[in-house]
Amino acid sequence: MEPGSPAGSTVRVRTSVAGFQDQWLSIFRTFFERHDVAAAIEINDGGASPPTVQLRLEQALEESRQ
Amino acid sequence: MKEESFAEKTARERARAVLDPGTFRELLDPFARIESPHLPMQGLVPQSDDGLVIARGKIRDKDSLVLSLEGGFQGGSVGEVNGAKIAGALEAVLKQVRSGTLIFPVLLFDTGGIRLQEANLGLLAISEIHSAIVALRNFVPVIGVIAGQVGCFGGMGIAAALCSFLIGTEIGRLGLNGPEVIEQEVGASEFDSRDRILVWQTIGCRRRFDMGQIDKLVDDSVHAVASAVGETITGAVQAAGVGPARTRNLARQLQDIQEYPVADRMTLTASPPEPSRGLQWFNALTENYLPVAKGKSVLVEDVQWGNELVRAISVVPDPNARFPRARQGQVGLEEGWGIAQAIWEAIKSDEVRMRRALLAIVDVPGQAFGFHEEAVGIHLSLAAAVDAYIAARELGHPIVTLIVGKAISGAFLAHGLQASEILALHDERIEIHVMSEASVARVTRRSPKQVSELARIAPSTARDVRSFAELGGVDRLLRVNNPDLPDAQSVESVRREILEAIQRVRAVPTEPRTRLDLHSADVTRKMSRRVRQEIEKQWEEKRP
Repeated sequence: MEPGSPAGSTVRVRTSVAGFQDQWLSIFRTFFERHDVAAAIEINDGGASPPTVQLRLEQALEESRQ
Repeated sequence: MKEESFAEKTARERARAVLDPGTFRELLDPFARIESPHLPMQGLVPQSDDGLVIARGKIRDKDSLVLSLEGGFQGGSVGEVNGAKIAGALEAVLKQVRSGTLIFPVLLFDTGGIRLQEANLGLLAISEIHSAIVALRNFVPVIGVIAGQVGCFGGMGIAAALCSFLIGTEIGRLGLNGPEVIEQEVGASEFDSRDRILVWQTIGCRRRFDMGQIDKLVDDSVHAVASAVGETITGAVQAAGVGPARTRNLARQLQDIQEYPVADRMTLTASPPEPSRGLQWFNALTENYLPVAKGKSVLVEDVQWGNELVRAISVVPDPNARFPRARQGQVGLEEGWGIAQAIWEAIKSDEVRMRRALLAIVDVPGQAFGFHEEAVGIHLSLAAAVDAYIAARELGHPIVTLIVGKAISGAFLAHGLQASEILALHDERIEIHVMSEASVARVTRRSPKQVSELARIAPSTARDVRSFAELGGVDRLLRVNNPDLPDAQSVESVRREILEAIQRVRAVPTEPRTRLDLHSADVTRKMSRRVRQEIEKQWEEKRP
């Protein structure tokens, strides 16, 4: 996770598991609804499930604010 | 209160934990995005640091460099990028200590060995890591820690054995072949990988400590590991010079191997061994047409070629060898130490005259996969051979390798890969790879068919000599009439090539990493070069 541009946020997900597009989208929708940030996010899922990634995103944001 | 586990931490947390608070400075961090280009093309998700953390910092106020492997990413396996990060960072430290700046290198191992998806690129990287560790040991103690949940195996097990000082925890395991691989290669009756008690009793760090193969055993806690590393560095600063390496304790180890009881499992191989190219070429080049003396798997002979005294070394099948898993020409316990002995003999007897050349004739189908091998510590045996070759090269013995048959994995690391020049017969039956297709399939969870198809998109996983040459692994390919049974004309032309290679090495003392600079590696090892350039660029700005 890095600061985004004024134009908005970008998200890139790399995963070896197909078919979870809806879950990914809903996670990012929730994340950006909850936090008013512009971030450039890159995710290498490493086999983790979308809910786990959601948790990590919250942790990353918290750490970036410290 | 329960102590905080070191093994359960990530690679980055471990690196932070051994460094003094606030001194952690990471080079090539995840935001540099230097990752494996080989994994995505195989449908695998890469990691932005390729599973390796390089951190400069201070330990007990001494300038240090920590290299920490992430066991949670691809089993901590070593591919091109993370391998180049380790080798490149160690080479950077070497440059500093040679110019008089003391920096303590610390390796936190958590690795199953070579990354099978990057195969021969990992093999080359590991040989460069070995070379850097041995070179560093002359200036500064290299500290290794076996602290993760994966353990430390394969070529990195050899690297651990090469360290000046090795620390292990109760959770750690150390060996050459992991139990799963032995089970796949030989069967569960040889080594049952699911029998956890047996596994830890055989290859666990406590056992290794009892055998004198690691120097310090500590609890799996952050505090215990960090203290052990700190005390080692403090102790090293006070001690004068660097202690003798365990890989050079030849007499003691050879005696241990002779006394090791294997008789209960002994069955003599009834059928004669396959005709060995290693034997044919050894005999032809040394003009020794006598049948090989029985009970000898390491052949050693000195020949005088003009001004050059050349010691030829070849590992050949021995159907009567004490260890059954090393009877088909594998490099096993007796062979690793045997090679080391042959080289140290040459080093000692050439102290006051021109250093003779060493010729490694390579036809090795792999390292010996077996329970007894791991129990005694075959990783140490292979490390002894690696160490001897590097020591000889650094003292000025020109080393040339001639690949005539198979050059596989740990066996090739121990016998051949440390040469300054590598020559190979241009022949389709030559095989250079890191593991049998069946084992690759099991470990990477692919079908054997997928594994063999992979070679087309990832040349580092191919098994032919031309592909290996394209990685910069071979200096010259030699055409001969009959590789199985060399005729007089072929022998003469190969002999001339070897002599020319020796002359080239004498003219310019080279290290094997200059193989990276070969034109053939321009495209195939692009990342290995880029990683080193980036380390150099960031080195000063990350000074602790």
